[in-house]
Amino acid sequence: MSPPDLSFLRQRQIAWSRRTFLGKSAQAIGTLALSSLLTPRALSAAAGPPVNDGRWRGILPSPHFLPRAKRIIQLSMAGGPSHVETFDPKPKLNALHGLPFPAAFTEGQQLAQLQHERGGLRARGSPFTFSRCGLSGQMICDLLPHTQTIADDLCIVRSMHTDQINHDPAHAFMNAGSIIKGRPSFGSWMLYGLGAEADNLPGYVVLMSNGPGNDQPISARQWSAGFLPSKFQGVQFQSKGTPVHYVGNPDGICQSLQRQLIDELAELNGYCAERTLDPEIQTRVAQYELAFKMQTSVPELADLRREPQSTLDLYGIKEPGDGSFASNCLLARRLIERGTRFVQLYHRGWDHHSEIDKNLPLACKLVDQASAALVKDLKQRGLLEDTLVIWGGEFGRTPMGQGTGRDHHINAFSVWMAGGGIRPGITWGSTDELGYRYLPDGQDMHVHDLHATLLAAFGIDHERLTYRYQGRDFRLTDVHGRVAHGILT
Amino acid sequence: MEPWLQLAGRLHPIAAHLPIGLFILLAVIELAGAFPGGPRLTAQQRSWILSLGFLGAATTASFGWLLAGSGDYDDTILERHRWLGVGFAATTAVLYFLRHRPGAYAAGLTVSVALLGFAGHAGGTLTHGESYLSLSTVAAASPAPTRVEDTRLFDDIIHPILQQRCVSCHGASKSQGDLRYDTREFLVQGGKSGLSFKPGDAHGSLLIKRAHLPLEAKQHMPPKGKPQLTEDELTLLEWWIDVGAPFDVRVSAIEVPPLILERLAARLGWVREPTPDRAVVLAAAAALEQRLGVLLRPLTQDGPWLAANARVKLTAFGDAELAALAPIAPALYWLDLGETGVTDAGLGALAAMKNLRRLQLDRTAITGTGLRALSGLSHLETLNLHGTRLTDADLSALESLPRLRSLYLWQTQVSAEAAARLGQKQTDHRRIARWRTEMAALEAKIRAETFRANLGTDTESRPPSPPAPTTARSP
Repeated sequence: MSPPDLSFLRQRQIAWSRRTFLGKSAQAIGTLALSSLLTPRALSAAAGPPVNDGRWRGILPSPHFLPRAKRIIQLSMAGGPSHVETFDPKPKLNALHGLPFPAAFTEGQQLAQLQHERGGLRARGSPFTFSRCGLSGQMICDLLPHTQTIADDLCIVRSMHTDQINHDPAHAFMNAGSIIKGRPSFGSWMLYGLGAEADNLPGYVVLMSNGPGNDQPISARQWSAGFLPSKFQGVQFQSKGTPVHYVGNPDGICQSLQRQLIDELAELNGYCAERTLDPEIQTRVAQYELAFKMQTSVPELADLRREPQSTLDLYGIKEPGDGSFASNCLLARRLIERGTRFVQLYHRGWDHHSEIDKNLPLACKLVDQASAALVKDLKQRGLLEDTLVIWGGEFGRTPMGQGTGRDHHINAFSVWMAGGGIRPGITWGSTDELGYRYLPDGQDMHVHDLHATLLAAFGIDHERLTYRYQGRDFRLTDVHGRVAHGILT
Repeated sequence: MEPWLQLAGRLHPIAAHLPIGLFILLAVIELAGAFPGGPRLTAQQRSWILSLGFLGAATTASFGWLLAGSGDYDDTILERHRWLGVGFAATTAVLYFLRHRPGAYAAGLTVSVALLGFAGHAGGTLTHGESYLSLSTVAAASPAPTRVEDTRLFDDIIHPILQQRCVSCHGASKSQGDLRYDTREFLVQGGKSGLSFKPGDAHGSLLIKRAHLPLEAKQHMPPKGKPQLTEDELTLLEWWIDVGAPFDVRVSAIEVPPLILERLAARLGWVREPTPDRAVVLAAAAALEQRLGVLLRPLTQDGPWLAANARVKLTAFGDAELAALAPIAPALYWLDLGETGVTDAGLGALAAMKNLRRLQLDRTAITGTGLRALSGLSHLETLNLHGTRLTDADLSALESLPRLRSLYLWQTQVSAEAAARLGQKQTDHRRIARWRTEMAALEAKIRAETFRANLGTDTESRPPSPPAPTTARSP
């Protein structure tokens, strides 16, 4: 193994030689003096009296441009919903059902498990019908009757495409824009950049629910903060029972004793931080403080009994707090109301390699009502103005059959977005006649483009939210990303 | 006329500037030379300037002659300009031969510069109109009446727009297309292409149609290169025609939609509040954050605009705290007062927040009485009143908000009908209809650009030779 390249250290040495240091200092002092002469108040205002309430306010002193959204709820349909059976109807594909899939589409391309499909690649039509919905007339599958009722609030993107064909890397790509371990997830970037308004709940919360079976596991690395300080990582709440384990005090410990304990710990950690300058110690102090606050905020948050029966019915919740997707959607709304920046709901059960005709309706039924209810509920409360909801999987499914199902597909899939500065009632981008590949018509949306666009809704220029790590400035979109201005209001 | 001759004619206004410059320079130098220590031109220099000046004047005059044949200019002024110009060109030639006889030369130069001045002024009048160089038109923009309601719709609003944008070509000195907009009588008469407007129907009016044509279109008015009507001016013209193109009414006599009212105010020179200073606002915001425990975030990198979240304090934030936001009031863009303890009594503080875009008052104790404080928030777009005790009657307080687009009324006493009625008043259906027409035109363009091949549905009779299906497109 060759020694690591340390040339950047040498460069830094040169950059900070005595002469450079003196020269730069003189220049800097001069500039400072000049600027304070020109705008006498600028300096004092830029620094401002520091507000020390323990709340992280984001690395950006302000958004780069006027934001539209403040919060985001991501409904991650883990497994990869079939786009041709949800939001992207393909009559030509139905007409070709059972016939050989035209070779011109697939020639020379990698197909995960279908490469050696017996009897060659065959087109698989959708047995399910679509309807034009709402005033916008968007096409939505009849398996999603509740989603059909919010068609006019949705921006359906049909031209999504990704680089990763297996679940775990595809989730990582969708979350962090990279499959390399150690990259921060989207939620961590948001928290790092903007902070959160809540100081008694985590700014980035993850919830998980299961489908009817054949679920792929979701690794906790999906909500990791990567190289960002770990206080920006997602906090997974349990869907069943108490969301956070051991949040109550043990017997014999009262809240005031707990407070003393936290204060003592913070003081001890403070001594340690002075000596080692490790930012993770600050993280630990902040986490203890947050945990203390969560001792009261979490039971209140999770108490779904306070919600009226009409709300439970809207979401289709049978037993509040039963760990279902519906229950999680309601919890997501409650989190958003309390100032959480990013709530990510993973719902498993979309990996339909076989018996898709039987399993897809089941999967749709489990999420349809609650997804639509979440949008409706946010809307009636006025929260949809600045809350962005995004629904979709990590990839799509092949228009070719895989036995009785469909395989993973990276060239095309659909997501929908609502609220938070997203133009409602439009369909963005399209795929070819068979739903095999996005059309490169300027409305195609790579995962990097989606990230850039979402950040733009929050007033962030994706090229300017960076973090220096190992000698390089990293960003969520790496060196890619194109904002789809057409879907922003 | 040959196209290149027409083009040469259009070069007249450009060419005119060369002899003007040369002869004024010559006159100034000769005049200064009359004084001791002044500059002295050599005979050779003088000959050169005179020859160049003559060449320029002759070229300009011939170009002008060509241009005169093509334009719809006022005949009297055109003839005056023509002969003054030709006269000037002639004097320059004479001057060349007089250059060695000082007395005659000085007199000749005086005459020719005088001719030059008169000819130039006549030319300017042809291009810009008679009243271009008078104080009265320059000063016309300043408002006489102090209240929008007192203004005369035609005389104070509409006529100045026409005067500013149209009359230079459609006026007394130059009436292209036999059209004049300088007086009411001519305005009603129309021109060669017909009547300019149909009272009550802006869309069907030639004046509006022409203004909406693409800038490149030959019939677009004002022509490309001339100062264009602004969106606001066009909106006001359309509205004037739609309400019947009245000449002698005051604004107070007709019902004015809020957006129009705002444009009228802007038109009359009512200056907006100055933008607050970012540094001052941020310093005040930091102090208030510390004191009140609310969240105050700047919304952009350069502007002073702030988003304020008081919801984090819940009922600990009340009327006194709201009043304490006064130092940053004009900088607030978003204000979240939802679930706080503010009451009607405290909402008066909102009147100073002139730039508010989003306001949340949901689940507070406010009533219709407090809402009146919002009446001056002319930028307010989103208002959340869900979970308050509002009733149908209270909505009238919101009618004066010109930009209000989303209103949240869930869990209030307000009926769907009352909300719909307010919506009817808030929406300018006329403008939406116009934009729909524009969209239809764009869709027609897309159709015209789209290629469609139709091979029929009968696949049996087609030769089976090509193996690849016709649906294939290479990915």
